Amino acid sequence: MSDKVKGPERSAISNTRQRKWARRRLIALGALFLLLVLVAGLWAYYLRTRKPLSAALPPAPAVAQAFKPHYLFSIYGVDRPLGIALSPDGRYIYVTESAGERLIKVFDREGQFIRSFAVPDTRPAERAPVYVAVDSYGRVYVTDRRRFALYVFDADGNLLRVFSPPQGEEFWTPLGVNVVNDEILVTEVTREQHRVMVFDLEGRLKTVFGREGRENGEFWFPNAVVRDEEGNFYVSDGNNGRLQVLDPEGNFLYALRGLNLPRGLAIDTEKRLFLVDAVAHQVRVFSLASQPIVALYEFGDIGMGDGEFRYPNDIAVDLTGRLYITDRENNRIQVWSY
Amino acid sequence: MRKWFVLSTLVVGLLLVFASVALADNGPHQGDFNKTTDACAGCHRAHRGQAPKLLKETSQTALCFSCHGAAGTGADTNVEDGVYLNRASGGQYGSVGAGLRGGGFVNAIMDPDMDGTIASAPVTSKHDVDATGTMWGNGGVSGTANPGKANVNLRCGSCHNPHGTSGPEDAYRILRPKPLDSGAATDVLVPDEPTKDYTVSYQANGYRYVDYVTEVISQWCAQCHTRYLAADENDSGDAIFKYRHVTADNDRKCLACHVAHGTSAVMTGTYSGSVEWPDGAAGGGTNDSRLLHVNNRGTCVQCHPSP
Repeated sequence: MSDKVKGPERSAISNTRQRKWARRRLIALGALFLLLVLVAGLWAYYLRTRKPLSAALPPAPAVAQAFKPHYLFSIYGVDRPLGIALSPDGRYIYVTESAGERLIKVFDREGQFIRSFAVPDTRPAERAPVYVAVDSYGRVYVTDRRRFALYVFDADGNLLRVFSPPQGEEFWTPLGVNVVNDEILVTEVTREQHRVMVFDLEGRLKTVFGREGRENGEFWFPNAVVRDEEGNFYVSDGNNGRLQVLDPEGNFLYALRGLNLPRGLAIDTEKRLFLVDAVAHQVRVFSLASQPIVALYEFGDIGMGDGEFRYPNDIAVDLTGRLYITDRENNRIQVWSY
Repeated sequence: MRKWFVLSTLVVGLLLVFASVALADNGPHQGDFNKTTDACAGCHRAHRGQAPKLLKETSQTALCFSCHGAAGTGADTNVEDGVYLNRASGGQYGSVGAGLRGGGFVNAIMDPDMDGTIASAPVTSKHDVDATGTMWGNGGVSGTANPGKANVNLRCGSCHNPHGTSGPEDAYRILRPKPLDSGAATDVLVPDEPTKDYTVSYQANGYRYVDYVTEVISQWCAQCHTRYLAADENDSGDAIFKYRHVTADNDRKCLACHVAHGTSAVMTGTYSGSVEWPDGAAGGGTNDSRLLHVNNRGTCVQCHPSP
């Protein structure tokens, strides 16, 4: 058919095709323009209404920190328990008693009694075990207020040694003890020198700070001390009713006041700080995700029922999200979990 | 009930008003009662108290033992074991490891057999805190038999004011001028000692030094044990407390023979353990030591060596 088309006709067909192409290009350009306008409009709308991603979707630790723990069960068979600590693998619970035989008792994580021990050759009236800690080798550290000593036992309860402070510090009164990153953190309450002492596992004194008083950086029966990943110290300043935060050199940073009788402290892997307030009969939980630390919530109330406390004193946390709390006047250890 | 509510509210209000005035024995009893204090809620509930004084906790003893208990986590005075725990150089306020003057509620460090050995031993009698009993001799002279006020619930706060005392003078051991439930009409302020010492000490003859307080301590004990206070040995006219040992005298004050908290003395003799109580109940035997600080009736001999 094309062979039969003459010259003028071929020219007319060509013009028609060109017009069609021109129209199609125009339509395509118009569509492209409209698309650009639409994208620009959407972009402008997004820019006007966008919110920071972090606000819309909190970071994972914040989500974890928002949840409260729940009560699991209680372990009985302890007489006015005070201090508590866990073995490195979390399988065993060490707890000190302040009444009756005043023993250090060991339970497994299901609450089965394993064994008990005490300072050799002492009667109950001659000893007062208070706080307990376990190092990464499984050695058990126990402060004894009546005997003005820090004892070191093996995991089976055999006395290894009496921890000796450096020369010139022999007349000390160790009260609280924790082992964090192979450092032994001790609160010491000899009158007028209530303070924090930091030792390495060989017993060498690395840092000491504080004295008795009410001013910033001073303490009044500090009961517990722990450190965060940055090396900051958190000290439960018992009779001053506050939690003091100090930098890695022991310089005062700030304090959270208005607590009743802060005692035991613990930090978990989710950057939560747990503080036992003995007279409020509660555990107060703080987030260490930022500084100053932020109060998250508290749990527990006064009573004798499940999940209720009467003068709780100390807390230990394991890697599975379990919390072990000495419930002094209810003569039990409460186990909570996330 | 309404009366108690009004009274309790008034007491708390007055404590808040006067809390910043002179306070004895320091400690947290001094409190930080500023205009926006949080401290009150630690122990009190304004409308839901579970014990008198609007306390939120029925066991006041547990609260006190949070610091003064066997662990001594908040004080140097362990009143359960009756021991002083301050290890400061120079022995400020007493000797480290020495017994407290009042004895203890679980154990006491003393020398009840007077053999020169001061040792810790379980108590045999005590002012039983957190228990209900009879306030012997409470009330005025009575011609009809009245052994005392029954069903009194004794607590630490019955005798001690946990907020500290206020007034022109500090009181010895923050003792209340009017012990709770005593019904006392007038105040008896036991002045604090010029140089504080919490610990007991013994004389060469084996008896305790008790010169740290004057005879006013007997007046104070008699705020509760009213009819035990006697200025002479004449017939008092009372049916039970008819003839009495003189106690209103500096040499014969209550603490010359008794301790305040608890004693480890034992009554092994035939007579000492069988002394009847003012209501006629039989004596309790070996452990019925009536807060005496020497075994049996050895306290008599310290003043009457040749009866």
